[in-house]
Parts: sequence; structure tokens; C-alpha cells
Amino acid sequence: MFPDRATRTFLDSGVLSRLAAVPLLARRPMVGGVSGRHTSPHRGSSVEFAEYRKYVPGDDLRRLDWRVYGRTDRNYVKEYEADTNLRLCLVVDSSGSMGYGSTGITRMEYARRLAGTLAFLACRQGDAVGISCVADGVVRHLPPRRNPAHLRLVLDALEEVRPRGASRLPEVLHELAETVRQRALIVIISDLFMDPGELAGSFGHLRFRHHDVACFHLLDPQEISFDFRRPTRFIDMEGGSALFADPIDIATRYQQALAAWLAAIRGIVLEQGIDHHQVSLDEDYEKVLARFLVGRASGRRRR
Amino acid sequence: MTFLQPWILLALPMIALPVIIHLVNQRRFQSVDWAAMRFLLAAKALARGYSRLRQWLILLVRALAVAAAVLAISRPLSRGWLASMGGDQAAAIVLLDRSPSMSQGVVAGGESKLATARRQVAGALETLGTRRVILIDSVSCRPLDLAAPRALLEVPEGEPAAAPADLPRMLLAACELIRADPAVGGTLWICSDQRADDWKVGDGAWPAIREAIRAMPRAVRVNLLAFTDPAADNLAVRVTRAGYEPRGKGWELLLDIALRRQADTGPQRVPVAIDLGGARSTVDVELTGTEAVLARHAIPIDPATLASTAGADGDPALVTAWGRVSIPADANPADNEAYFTFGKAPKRRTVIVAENPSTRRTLELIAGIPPDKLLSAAVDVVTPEGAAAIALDDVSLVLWQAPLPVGDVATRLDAFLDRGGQAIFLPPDVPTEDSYAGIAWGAWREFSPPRRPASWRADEGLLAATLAGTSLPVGDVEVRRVCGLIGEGTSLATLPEDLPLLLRVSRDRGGVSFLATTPSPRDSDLAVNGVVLYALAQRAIDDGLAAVSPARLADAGALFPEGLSPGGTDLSSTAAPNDWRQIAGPPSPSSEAGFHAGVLESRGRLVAVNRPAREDAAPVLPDDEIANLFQGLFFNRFEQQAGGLGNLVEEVWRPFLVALVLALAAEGLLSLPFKVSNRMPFAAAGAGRGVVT
Repeated sequence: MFPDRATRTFLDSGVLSRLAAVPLLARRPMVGGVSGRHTSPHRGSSVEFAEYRKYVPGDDLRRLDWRVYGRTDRNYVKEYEADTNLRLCLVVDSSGSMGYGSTGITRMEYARRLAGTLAFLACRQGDAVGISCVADGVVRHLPPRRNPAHLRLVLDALEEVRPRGASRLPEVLHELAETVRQRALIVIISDLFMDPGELAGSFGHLRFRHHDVACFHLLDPQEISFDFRRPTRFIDMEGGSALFADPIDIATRYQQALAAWLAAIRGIVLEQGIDHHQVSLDEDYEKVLARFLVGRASGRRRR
Repeated sequence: MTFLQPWILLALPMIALPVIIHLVNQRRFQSVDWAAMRFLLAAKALARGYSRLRQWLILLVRALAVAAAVLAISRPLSRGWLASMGGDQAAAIVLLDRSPSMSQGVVAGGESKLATARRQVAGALETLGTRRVILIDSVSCRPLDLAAPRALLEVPEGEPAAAPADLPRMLLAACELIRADPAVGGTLWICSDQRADDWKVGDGAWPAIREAIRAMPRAVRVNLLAFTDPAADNLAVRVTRAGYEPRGKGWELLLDIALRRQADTGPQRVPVAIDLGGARSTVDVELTGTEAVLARHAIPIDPATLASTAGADGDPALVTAWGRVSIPADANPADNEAYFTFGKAPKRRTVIVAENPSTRRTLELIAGIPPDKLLSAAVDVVTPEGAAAIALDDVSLVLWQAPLPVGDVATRLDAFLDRGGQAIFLPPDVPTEDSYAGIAWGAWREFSPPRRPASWRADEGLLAATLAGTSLPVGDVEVRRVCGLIGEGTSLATLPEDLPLLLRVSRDRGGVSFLATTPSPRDSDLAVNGVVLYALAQRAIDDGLAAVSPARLADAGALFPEGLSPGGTDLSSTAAPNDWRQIAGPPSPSSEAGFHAGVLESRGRLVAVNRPAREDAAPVLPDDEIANLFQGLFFNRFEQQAGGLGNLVEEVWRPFLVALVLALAAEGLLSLPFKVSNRMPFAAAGAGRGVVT
């Protein structure tokens, strides 16, 4: 599949093969250009019966159900589900804070693994894959395409992106909501270290455009435990001013601020119907993705 | 506050150690790249005030812990500032008031003031590590080197005595000691109950004492342990007079017993036990007010049964014996007993040496008539020329109206006075330049009209008022002629223009008085208004009689002249040294005979020694008067109570140790990070890991 590059460090063939058994499905009807595995908002010609509808002039006479006509003397058209393909838009936060990691893996590396695996799985089932790397603007943008060659570009983009600068994810999400014309599955991979109010606005915008939004919220265990002992000079990875503090003095307040922020995020994702996954960097990304895929498969019938 | 190991206080700057460690720790910070800055900023803004306060509190309790540790190791002393006001603790002088009032406790049988004082001072000196302790007790007033502070509790010189204390004299002894050996100076501990009688505020020695202490090369601190708490229900008993008289075919002992209490607590019946020759009888005395006297309490006695008491040579009239009265135990055991002796009164023998016949006759009359019909008197009249041959062995009084004695006669008179005899000199017709006892006669001076005494001592001395309080009619005496007196003496009566009429010369023993006129009608009307002259002569005879009486009552401490060893001194010229032995009373060191209550005997003569009467009534000096006595000196006064369990100076490191533990506990509590569970943020989010929402 990758003739010019034998391996990608963030892809594991074993994980890919195990996760291939579970399809990547959208929670909402997608509008695709070709036939695929995802439900479409339109009626189509698949084998799966959808409903009966009264005949109206102009309908194709071939779709009349003559048996019903014989029983009821009324004209009904038999409709079937339409299956289409999916556009997967990966939005990867590449701001400076994504470079943090205390467990031997940075948040950026973790994001690469999640995004690369999802891109591969989507491409494998014939869906279009695109990527947007976001820092203080759109660092790299590849629109969704279906061909395997495009997958290579996407993986290249993931490999090349480096965590740098501040994050302007909400603004970029607003921009994506406007630029992705048809319904798509938008997967956001970020630490979400930003104002919850702004996030709420951008998520709402995406939902307004009927996109299926999923979010992998990456947090490092040390960001949660904050178990520093010595006085520490904290250097802002996004270029802000450094801060000197005795962790013993501020640990409690830090935990309170973190808890309040997480509660706010949770409120937003509940309100906006976001498929939110809070992920600790010491978790196995395979399990995280399996949970993500299985959760979506169980919501297959919703249209 | 004083410390037993003050050099450890040099480590006190270590209280800055926590601050220094904190500052060093601040410099040893680590730098980390951090993503979740927004929470840090929020936490920093929220925790700024509390964090700063907690930080300071932690530093404070750490500094307190270090300070408490240093102070505890330094072994602090309570009331230690006593010893911290200069000087060292190498030596201390303890002035111990052993007077009977110091035997008072809070309750009957409780620890006395004296015992408490000894215990507290010994404990304090031991705690302070004093190596040399010198005791000056109120009996001997001599310094006694003690091996260790603990010896203060064991030496007999610390036991109670019946004699009053003389604080000025004790302080003078201390000053002498310090002057001779400045190394012993530094701290004077005075243990006393502040009785006015012991402190003698009016004593002329006080300014000299102050000046001496102030002039010491090293600062001397005076610490007074004052035990002033009174015992309202304390009773004191004493015998004011004891004698016996024939009654019918037998004899009767007549006692005057006086009871006294500190305060009027209502009517009280006091059983007074009288021990006499092994027989005990009890008489109840009604006590209303503060004083009661049982006068002439008669006890029938058989002198024959008492003969063994003190050898009577077979004649009941010559028996001398002793007895004791006592009352039930109360707060002060020292005044619950009184000893008495009795015997037939000796003849009141007077020698008159007079050159003027009229004067001689008058003196013969007033000396030859005894004040009681049961008493007998004898008068020997000699001319000045025959004075060298008179026998003075059993004479009580010498009346001398002639040129003052010189040579052998003067020597014999000195010996007579030294054994307690009395002498009254009247001016000769023609004064000479000779002097006796530091006094010489001046010139005669006539007054017309006659003059009357302007002032006289009615409180004590030969012209004192009677026991009933009536004063002698000294003011009625008319003096027409007076002879001048050249020399120093205490004036008992003066005429206008400060002319001395009666002068008393101070002696260690015996009494010498000079009357500046004669009873001759040409000189005064002393013969016409004979009461004054009669009282004068009879009182002098009474005073002189004590020295020759076979049985007498004496005040403790007043028996022996100053400066002589009490044990080696005799009470009369006829007894050999060390001849006196104690035959009754609590055991006491022979070196302090005469200072403890009891009965002394020598060659058939008895002396009952009791505490002075003023000891029962001496008021307590106010604190400000005491402070005035030590004005300008390092003086500290500590009010103590008999039987008080607390020590005067004690180590107080335990509170500091407790403070150290509390400070460490507080530091531990404040240093707790108050961390919330690591999982709390997830729990708060309610999602858990990877929950699909």
C-alpha cells in the first residue's frame, strides 16, 4: 500500500488489521458522490427496504409495487435505502501544547496515531479522507479524496506536522464548517486548551451544517494529577510568559480550575451532541479507537 | 528569664534557618515545558493571598519550633530574672530569720514559714548551681559556710529559736563578710516574715547598710522571701509573773497567765495546761477580744515535793522550781508553751553612798520600803570614804551621791554593773572633773522660779507609765537647782532648754543612770512629791534584782551580752563559765543556750527563757516600708506562703518542649498539600476515560 515508504512510525499494522473488522460508520446520514457503506438522506436502490410512498406523477413506473396495487387498488411506490460514501475530515491540533507528554509519548504523536489509523480505515472502506492541521491558523489542509494516493498525502502531512505556536482551533472550525460543503464526519483531535465558550460556538456551527462531529480530547496524566514537588518554573509551550510557582501551594486550586473546565467542556459536548472522547495519553490508542468505532457501529440505524 | 546553660542561646539565630532553607529551595527550582497554562494561571490568581499567608505561617511555626528547641535545651528557669540582674551564682548569702513568728504554718502541724523558706531557698540555690552558701542566722548573726545548698535543711542553725531577729545586725554581718571577701557577694537571700520588731526600721544602722551595699565593688542583689500571711486563729500564751506565797499552813503558787490572739474571732474558751513538778492541771480561760490575762491564778503546792526540782536546802521558803503552761496546738507551735520559774524573792538590798545627810536620809527611805509587804528590803549606807570596802555581791542597786568613783571603786562598780547591777548617780555638792561611764558632772545651775520637766520617756525606762497605763507625775516635779552633765547618754527626762534631768548611759549589761538634781529641798521637791523618786528607785531595784534572783523569767536572746559566746557566758559573776545547763524545754544546741525556750539552771538558780512579749504582737511592716529600706539597691521581694509547694526557682523546659511539639504539628498540618484525588477531574467530568457522549 505504501510502496515508497515501507513503514509509518505512527501506524501499526497489527492495530490496523484488528480494527479493520469494525467499520467506521457515521452517526448521521452522509451525502456522498458514490455508493458506499453509509446511509444517505436520499432514497436509493439498495436492497434494504425503507418505506412505501404514494405514487405521484413523475415517479418511475418501474418502482410501483404491483402487489400492493392488486390488494388495495392504490398506487404505491416501494422505496429502498440509499448507501453512499463518507467524507472524513481529520482536524488535528498542531499548536505548541500538543508537544507535551510525560508518559514517553507526546500528545502530537498520539494524535498522529489516532488520525493515521482512522484515515487508513476510512480509505480502506472506500471513504474520502482529508486533513486539516491547525495551529494559529490552518497549517496544512488536504480536502477529502477517495483514492489511495491521497491517503499517502494525508499520512505525509501527519508525519511532517510539528507542534508549534498558539491554537486558533475555534476559528478554523468555523472556517471548516463553511468550506466543507456536504455532510462529513469531522474528527477533531486536540487538547482543547481554549475558551469553552468559543469552542461551543464552533461546535454549534459544525452541527448546524449537519456534520457529524467527533472529538478526541487528549490529556496527559500529569496535567491531571499535577504531582510536582519542587518549586517549578512552568514555560508556556504556546509562547506565553513563563510562570513560577510552588506546586504545593497551588495544586488544589489547579485541580479546581481543571475540574471546572472539564465540566464546562462536558456541558458543551452534551449540548452540541458531539461524540466526545476524553483520552489520557497513557491509554492504548487501539482501545480508544475500538471504543470509538464500536460506539458508532451501535448507532448505525439512526438517520 | 535565666538559663542554666545560657551559652546555648548563641544558637538562637538558628531561627532564621527555616527562612534560609526556604530561600535556598526557591532558588533550586526546576523548569518544565507546560501546556495547561490556563489552569496554572487561574490557580495562581485564586491562591495568591492564602498561599502567601500559609507560606509565612509555615515559616513562622518552623522558626518557633527552632526557638523552642533552643530555649528548652538552654534549661530556662522560672523567676530566673532574679539571678539575671548581674552577678553570678557562685556564692550566695542566706539571712535566716529564726524568730518564733517564723514557726507559724498555715494549719496546725503544717510546714512552718521557716521550713518553707529553707526548703525553697535550698531548692533555688541548688537549681541555680550555687557552689558556696553562707548562712547568717538571727541567733548568732555570724556567717556559717555550708558545704552545699542542701545543708541548709540540715544544720541546727536553721532550726527555729525563741529569740527575735535583728535584721539590721544580720545585714551588717553580711556587709562585713562581703567586704572581707568580695567573692561571696552577689546575692543576699533574706527569709523573714517582715515583723516590725525584727526589722527595726528606726535603727540607725539602715543608712549605713544601704551605703555599704551600694559601695560594694560588685553589685549585690537583695532577694526577700516574705512570709507575711497571718494566722488569725493563732493563740499565744505566756506567764508574766510567777511567785509563791504562804497560805495558811501551806504554800500557793501564783501565776499571771496572758493569752493573746491575732484577731478577735469571738468569745473562746481556751484550756490552759499547767505542768508543775510532773503534775498537770488545766484551767479554762475565757478569751474575748484579742487579749486575756488570768491574774494571780493560785495553785496550792507543797514545797517539799518540789525540792528535787532545784535543791532547797531543807527550807521550803528557799525552794526554786520551774513549770510550764501550754495551750492546744495551733498554727504556730512556738507560742503555745511558756516556761516559768519561781522561788522566794531575794532581799532588795541597796547600797547608798551619799555625802549630803538630807539626801542620804531621803534615799534611805525610798530604798528601804519594799513595794509589797511580803518582800524585804535592806539598805547599807556608807560614806564616800568607806565606799572602797562595801560588799556588792547580793546588792541590786547602788545610789551614789558623791564625787564620781575612780580607781578601785570604779573597777568594783564596773564588775557590779557587768553582772546586771543597777546604779543611779546624783550630783555631789561640789562637782569634780572625774568621770564615770563617760559622764562627768558640770556646774550647778539654779532656777528661780523652779522649773518642771518639759519632756520625759513614758513608754520605757525608769520613768515609764505604770502597767495600768497611768503615767508618773514627772511633770509635777519642781527643780530649783540642776547640775550639768557632760557626756553622751539617752535622756529619759529633760528640763526646758534641753537640760537633761535624767540620763541613761547605754551598757551591754547593767544600768547606769544620772539624775541631775538631788531630793534635797534646796535642789528639788523630789522628796516632797516622793512618788517619782520612789518609783525610780524601786524600778532600778527590780532591774538589779533579776541578776541576783534565784528564779527569774528572761526573754530569749536578752540573757547574754553581745559579742560573747552565749554558751561560754555566765549569768552572774558567781557562776563559772559553761555552768548553765538546760533542764527543760525542747532540745537545742548548747551553743545557743538562752536563745531557745526552756529552763536553764546553774547552782540552784533557775532562768525561764521565753520568747519576748513583743514577738506575740509585732505588726507586719508594709511592703513599701521594706522597699524604702532597700531604696537604690537591686531589691526583689517575693511574697511566699508557709507550706507553699512551688519552688522558688524551677526549670521550665517542659512548656518549651510542648511548644516545640505543637509547632511541629502545626507545621505538618500547614504543609499538607490538600491535594484533591488525581482522578477528581475525570470524576467531575463524569465521563470517565473515553466515554462516548
